[in-house]
Amino acid sequence: MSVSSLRTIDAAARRTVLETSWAQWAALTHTASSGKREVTSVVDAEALVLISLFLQEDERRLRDMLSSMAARYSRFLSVHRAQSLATTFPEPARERLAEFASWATHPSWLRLRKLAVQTDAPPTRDKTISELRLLSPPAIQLRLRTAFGVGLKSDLLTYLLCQHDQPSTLSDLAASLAYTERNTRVAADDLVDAGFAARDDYSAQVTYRAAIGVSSFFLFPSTQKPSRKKESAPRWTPWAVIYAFLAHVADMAQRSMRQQWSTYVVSSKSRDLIEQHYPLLIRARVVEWSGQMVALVDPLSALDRLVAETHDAVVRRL
Amino acid sequence: MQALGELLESDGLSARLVVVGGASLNLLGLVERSTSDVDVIAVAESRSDGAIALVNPEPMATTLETAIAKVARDLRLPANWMNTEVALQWISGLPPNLEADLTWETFAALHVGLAGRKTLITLKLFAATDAGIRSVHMQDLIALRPTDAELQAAANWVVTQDAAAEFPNLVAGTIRYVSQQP
Repeated sequence: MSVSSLRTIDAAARRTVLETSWAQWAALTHTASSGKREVTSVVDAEALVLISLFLQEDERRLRDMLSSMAARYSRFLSVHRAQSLATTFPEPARERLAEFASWATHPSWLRLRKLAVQTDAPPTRDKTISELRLLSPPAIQLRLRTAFGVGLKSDLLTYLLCQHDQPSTLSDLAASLAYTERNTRVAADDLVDAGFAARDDYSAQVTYRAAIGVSSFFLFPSTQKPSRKKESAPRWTPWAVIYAFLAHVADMAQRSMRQQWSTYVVSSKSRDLIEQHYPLLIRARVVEWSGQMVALVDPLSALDRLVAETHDAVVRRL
Repeated sequence: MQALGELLESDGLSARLVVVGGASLNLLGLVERSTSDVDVIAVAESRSDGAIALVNPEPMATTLETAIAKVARDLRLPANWMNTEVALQWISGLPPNLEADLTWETFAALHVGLAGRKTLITLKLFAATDAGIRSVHMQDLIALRPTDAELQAAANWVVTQDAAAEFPNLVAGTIRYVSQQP
């Protein structure tokens, strides 16, 4: 593939994340319109904020949405988790997190706010976000945070509920939620003691799952129709892993065009992205390991393929 | 080295390295032979007065090491294709007038000071004495076709590099062998 193919790959990555992020904003608030897609998986709030920060130059409306979200609902967002996930995103998203903090009204964002720098970005337009759709199934993370506070236990319960009775290892839980394994274990054991989760000590690795009956109680609030079945419950999708990968692809493409990288540099950077993200995407079960992928000698072709496979996974799992 | 320079540039980095050995011989067109490694003897740093100071390349900057490893990965080169083994020379002393004997070439953000003929003859005389007449160093030294005066000037420094009593005789033997070559 030629270097010019990078434009096509960039466009595909941006289109995927833009459509997905708008669909997720629409699942959280009536202020956004969903467009073509309906969300059935859990919205990871911090991942959505980070990808929206990354994309804000593509669509100014996202910047307005973010500033409004920060002003009204920053109390439902985790600074710790946002900072932790930000390390996996490209620099523009990391830098803009401090600006997001400057819009936030909740005191937990105060320390990060001090890192905000003056930018030449346009001022945000007043677009007050509507009430959060907390009872919408994809908003379960925010619903549990509303009920129990922002923290690891709320997120852990969200994750376990959305596994549909599938057990999860401690390392899967910690990696998916971006907390340390130690803290995750303590929180998971507390949920077990409280009767919200069950632990299986007899497997090769200790696993956790939501306790029987807990899923239906939390996933289908009384205001929803009783006909809702387990199959229609939201599933956990590793949005942070997906968004970070696609954002890095778009960021690399932009830098390549801005700095007019040579064919060699584009090839080397493509290989870097594959080496860094392919194992993460496999581990998060976004894509499956493919011998064909590994056999692709041209890293740009391999990157093109990985973006396409990730897009397919997004469409399937949105 | 072009690949390395381009990678450094893409990350907003740059480096100035002083290179000796086969890479320098090749790039200066003094000897035509393939070489699989690049020997870095020094890093050039800018002083506050604008002059350049040569310093020990060890420890190499992590960013530079990472870029070197990526070039090795991408071009399927040995991991140590660019190495600082020759920098051990900083312990016993660098060849005289190394700084003045450099020719600078630029590969994107990588600036390479190529050691010149005098330095290369000096180092090759030392290495050939150490490694013997069948070594690649001896072949390089012969290919350089040094004059008697150049060999003698080199020998003055080489004999200071080993305290063994017989070492000056070994150096003289190497010079004799080189002089006898057609």
